[in-house]
Amino acid sequence: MTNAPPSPLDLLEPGALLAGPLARSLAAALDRGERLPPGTRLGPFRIEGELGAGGMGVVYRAERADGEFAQSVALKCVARHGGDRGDAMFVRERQILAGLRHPNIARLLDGGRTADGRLWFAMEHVDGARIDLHARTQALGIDERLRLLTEVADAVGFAHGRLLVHRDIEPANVLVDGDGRAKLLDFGIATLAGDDGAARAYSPAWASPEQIAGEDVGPASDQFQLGRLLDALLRADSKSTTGSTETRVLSGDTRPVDGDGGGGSNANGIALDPQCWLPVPVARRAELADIVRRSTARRPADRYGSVTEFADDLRRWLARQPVQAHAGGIAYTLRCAVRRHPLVTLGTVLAGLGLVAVIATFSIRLATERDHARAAATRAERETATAQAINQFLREDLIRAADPYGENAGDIPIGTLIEKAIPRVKERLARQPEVAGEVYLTLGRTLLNLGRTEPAAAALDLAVEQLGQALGPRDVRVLGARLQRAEVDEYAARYEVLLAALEQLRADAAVLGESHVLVLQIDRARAWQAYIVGDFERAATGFADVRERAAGNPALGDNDRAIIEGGLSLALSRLSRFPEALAAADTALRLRTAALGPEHPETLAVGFQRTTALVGLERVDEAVATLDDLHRRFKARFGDNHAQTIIAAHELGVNLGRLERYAEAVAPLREAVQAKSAVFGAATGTTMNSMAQLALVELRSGDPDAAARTVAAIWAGGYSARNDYDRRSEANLRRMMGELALAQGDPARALADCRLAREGAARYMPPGHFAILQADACLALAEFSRAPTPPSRATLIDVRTALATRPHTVNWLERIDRALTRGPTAL
Amino acid sequence: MGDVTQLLERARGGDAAAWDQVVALIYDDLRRIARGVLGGPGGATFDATGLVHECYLRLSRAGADGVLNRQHFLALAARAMRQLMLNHARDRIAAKRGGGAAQVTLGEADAAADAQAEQLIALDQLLERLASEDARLAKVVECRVFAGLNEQEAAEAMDLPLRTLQRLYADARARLAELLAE
Repeated sequence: MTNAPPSPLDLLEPGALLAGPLARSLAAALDRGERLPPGTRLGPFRIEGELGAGGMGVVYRAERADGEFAQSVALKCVARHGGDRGDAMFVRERQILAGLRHPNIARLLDGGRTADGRLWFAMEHVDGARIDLHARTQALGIDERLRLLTEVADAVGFAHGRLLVHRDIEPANVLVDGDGRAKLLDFGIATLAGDDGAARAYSPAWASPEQIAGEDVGPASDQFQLGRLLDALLRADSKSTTGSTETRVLSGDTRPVDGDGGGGSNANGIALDPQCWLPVPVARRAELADIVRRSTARRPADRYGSVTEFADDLRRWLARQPVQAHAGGIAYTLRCAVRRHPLVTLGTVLAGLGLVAVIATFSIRLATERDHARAAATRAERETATAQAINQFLREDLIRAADPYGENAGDIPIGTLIEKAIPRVKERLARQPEVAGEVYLTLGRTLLNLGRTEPAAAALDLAVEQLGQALGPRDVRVLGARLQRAEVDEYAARYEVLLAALEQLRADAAVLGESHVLVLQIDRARAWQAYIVGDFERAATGFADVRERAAGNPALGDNDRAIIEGGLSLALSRLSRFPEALAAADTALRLRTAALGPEHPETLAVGFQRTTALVGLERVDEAVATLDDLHRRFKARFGDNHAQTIIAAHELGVNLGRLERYAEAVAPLREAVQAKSAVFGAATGTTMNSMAQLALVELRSGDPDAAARTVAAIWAGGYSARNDYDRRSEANLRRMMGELALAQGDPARALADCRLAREGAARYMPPGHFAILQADACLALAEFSRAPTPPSRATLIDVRTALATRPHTVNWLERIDRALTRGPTAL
Repeated sequence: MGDVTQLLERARGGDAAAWDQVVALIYDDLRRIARGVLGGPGGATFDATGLVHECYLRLSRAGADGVLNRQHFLALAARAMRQLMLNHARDRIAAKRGGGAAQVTLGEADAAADAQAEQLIALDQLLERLASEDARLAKVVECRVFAGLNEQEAAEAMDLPLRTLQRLYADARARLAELLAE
């Protein structure tokens, strides 16, 4: 590398001097001015001598001197930064770090404060060499170097899962011990000693772009530093990791390396030059370069979704599998993770918490960015304060409950954790109602996703209250929070309350204009409310109206449009306008695919709208094939108890029944019943509906005893109808019970049930619906069985004629024919 | 603190010797504060501005309120910072040439710091020449580069309108480039 000799005028560039190596060296020199002499006691330790000194201060060798037991530690003494956090906070954080046990992390053992106010930390003493020097002196091959780095990345990922960020990963902080094991030093020290927990404490030469910019620093910053460490380890001569590359980073110059340096730039903080790397075949080198580029992308959002993904890609490379560095979709991965919620183990609790933090910070950043009125500096300060407050809240109030070394060890559902933590939000964020509001909003959404409607409602009420306090009651974000709050009533099946809330909200939001995104979302919610309460005309009109207005607003995303089309499709299906319904579902599918990709769960879910329309068009075979596919995919991705899996299982069973493939229908319906009982409770309308369908296919597949047991279980569970949906399902149940009674030779009971079924079907199904015809058929059979008179015979023949015009009615026709030819007892 | 007050009065009256003495006093204080603030984990960024502000607060708390004008103080502190950095740069170069005792080195970081030390010594010489031509231009550079003041702060420190300061800084850079080329 040939560089022009550095000009003294380079120092005039912003930050070049004060954020540069000379200033750092000065700081270290000032610190070294006050060395601790051997014999000094710090806590239970006695200084024995110096292990080394450098940019980060002096590291001493110390022995435990309180007579408890012999212990040799590395003791680091650092100056405290300007700000002042309470000692209690310091002690708590130190305890959390002390609980961080990983074979590749040097443990923090103790810490405290010297008489003159400096902080000291006692750490597991690692006798080893710096990772880059070790690699060079041992002449390690590329695979061995990558394996070492993978160990480090795994350790970092482990800590990230506990919401701990290193902030200062560089070769000097990674040692390889005598057993050839990588050990990461100083975990959390930067956080403990930093005054604002964010930007200041790091080695400038290895800083991430967000650290240099003084922005909030999170797990992605550690990933950046790991990526740089990877680059350093790949170099044939580690010395070349400094020099021009670092100077570029420091001065913020990110222009690509000139000339033919194979790798070129990746629009990020490091200028990549794989030509300097150890020899690797060209194709594999390109893959490796992709891994480095992705992990060191300038924007955190362009990096891997997590350090774990980064480590996985390294492992893929080592195993000679294709690496994922090209693949995008971090947001997708996050969204998938948030849906994978039921029956949470500790691991997923922690992952979930990390996610809450990510979402919270992200949503606040978005909100803040909208706020043009405030100056950039204030904004940065506020963001830091916000991130800090949220992290504190998460760490203190949430994660401590899940601390594997704490009292409450074991599996705690994330919902319980959040519920317990909610009362603490106001305490933590007392002076920041806006932030408190956003946190409530996030927690409320999470609780709702977890199906905890009442706590979700409480959290969202608080979100509306706090945001309203900060922004005024008519602010668009407050109105948005009210919309989310209203959705809880949908989940909780309080449809009248939902309607009232939406109407009021619509009136309050009217000033925003007819095609404002929020207004469109409110109207969409109103149409959906109409659909849920069975007012399909109003629903279809509402969706069609929103669709028309949405066409004129480019701010509305494809995803929102897809939801509108999907709702319209369902409403049209209910109105038996199946060709239009299918067209709307196809549009929804196209929009979802464009917005999210073909494999995304939301895209797959459009399959339900299509199958509903297909069934209506009597293309049941196609519907069953689709449902079978959806059921398998959802089950693999989300497990048995997820709403999408349950819907797929239920619909698959029902439609197999429609095709008279009763034996095949039993398994998916049993699955649906089991899952619904677990999730919604046994005595709910939706569970009853699946049980009724199950009993029906059990009966038709020739197992009336199983059917009888299922029916008995419905009533034993204490079920009673609560709304029209329930009553509609109950009509099916009654018909099924009528058929069962017939099969059991009890025509009187069959008649009573069939009358109820006919009444319910006529009332809750659209005219001409197959369910009405089936109720008629059942009723006619019951009448004929009880009294095979000429009029009842004529009625039965009429029904048979009607049934014969429909597909998939062989079972009905056979039963009617048996009754007509061999008499009622033949049933 | 009494002598600081008097010296400041004199410095404000245009007494160059008093100015130098104030700088020397502030220098010591900066050093004391720096020890508590800097040298954090991994050698945090050198927050010169924070340092300067803290130094100011200490002085004003100590009773220099009425006299100590914050703006003038910033300009003084910038000078002190320049001296602090320069002395350290000279120490480094001396150590490198064998004058220093056994110093635990970090390799890369040290090489980079040594390179900057050379740059700084060269810049200091250029600034001396610039000051002999136009003291104001050198002061602007001090405020921006050594105290890390932004344009607005630097303008306040020198009692200049923002536009003027911007122009002076541009002039200073241009002139430094010319001096370097000579």
